[in-house]
Amino acid sequence: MTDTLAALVLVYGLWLIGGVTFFSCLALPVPASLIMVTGGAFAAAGDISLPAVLAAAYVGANAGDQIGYTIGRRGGTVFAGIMNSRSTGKAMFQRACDFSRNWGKSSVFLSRWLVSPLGPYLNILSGASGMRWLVFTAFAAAGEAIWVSLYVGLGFVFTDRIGMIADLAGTVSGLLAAVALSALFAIAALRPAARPAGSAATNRNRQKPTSLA
Amino acid sequence: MQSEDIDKVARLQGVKSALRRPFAAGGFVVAIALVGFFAVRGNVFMTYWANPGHHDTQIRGWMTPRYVAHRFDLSDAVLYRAFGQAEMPGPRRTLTQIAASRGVAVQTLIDQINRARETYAGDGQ
Repeated sequence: MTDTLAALVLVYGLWLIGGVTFFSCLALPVPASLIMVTGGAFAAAGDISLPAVLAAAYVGANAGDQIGYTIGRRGGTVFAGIMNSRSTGKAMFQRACDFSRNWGKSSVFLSRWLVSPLGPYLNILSGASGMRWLVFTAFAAAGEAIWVSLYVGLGFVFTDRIGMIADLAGTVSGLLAAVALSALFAIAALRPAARPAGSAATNRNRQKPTSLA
Repeated sequence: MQSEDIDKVARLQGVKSALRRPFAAGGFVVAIALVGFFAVRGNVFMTYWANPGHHDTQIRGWMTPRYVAHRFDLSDAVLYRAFGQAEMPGPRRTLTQIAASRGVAVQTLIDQINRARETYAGDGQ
């Protein structure tokens, strides 16, 4: 696979690098990490300019983030209407919004590079939950700077380990994302029935007291 | 209430709490399965890449002359000789493309580079 992708990077250059990071931020299954690492390796060799590779990947990633956020923002009202028509859906949507309000900035930042498989979904959630555009953009742009420079930088330094870096980095990122998701779902499943006043879940739970004590 | 009873009640509360939230409980099961998947995948990759034979130590057709020079620590002079010309071929052209434009097999070109590597190794390049 490395040889085909390497040839594609050389033929289509910066457009391919920017396009792949763009689509990966929309949750499409494209090999963004391998492409960025390969771009970094060819930059080290002098085939492509390093600043150009970094810029293409960075612009693509941020553009993808903005599209995801806009989809969440535009579709958020419709989605909220659908979810709010059912009590379970309303509570679930409310909790997602609560999460975004409490942890939105750090989760947007970390989901760019540390747990990157979650990034596209947080873009939509950020838009749907009404996170301010400037705040989203600032934290997303900071996170993408780390993501892009990390992968391109690894390719630049470890020119002869392109395949290994892409394989291992993708796995570590996926593993961390799965651990983060497990923790979130565990907290959601085991949280106490009593909720602070004002939350959508409160009324529902009050109607069905379940305490064993 | 005994501490064992308290533990038992806590566990039951946890189970009941999870059962009341099938979406969260189901999501947790899927997420744990993903943790297992990535752990196994990581282990497979680590084993694979720990084998030196799996690292590409040969010159391949997808590589460019500059990449070959950088990766195998060859001077431009060695490559000039290998390509039989006075200057490095332009950037972003793979050995396969260069071989095709010259009407030779890519392996012939790779053999030329390898011969130049051997000939000029330790020659100050």
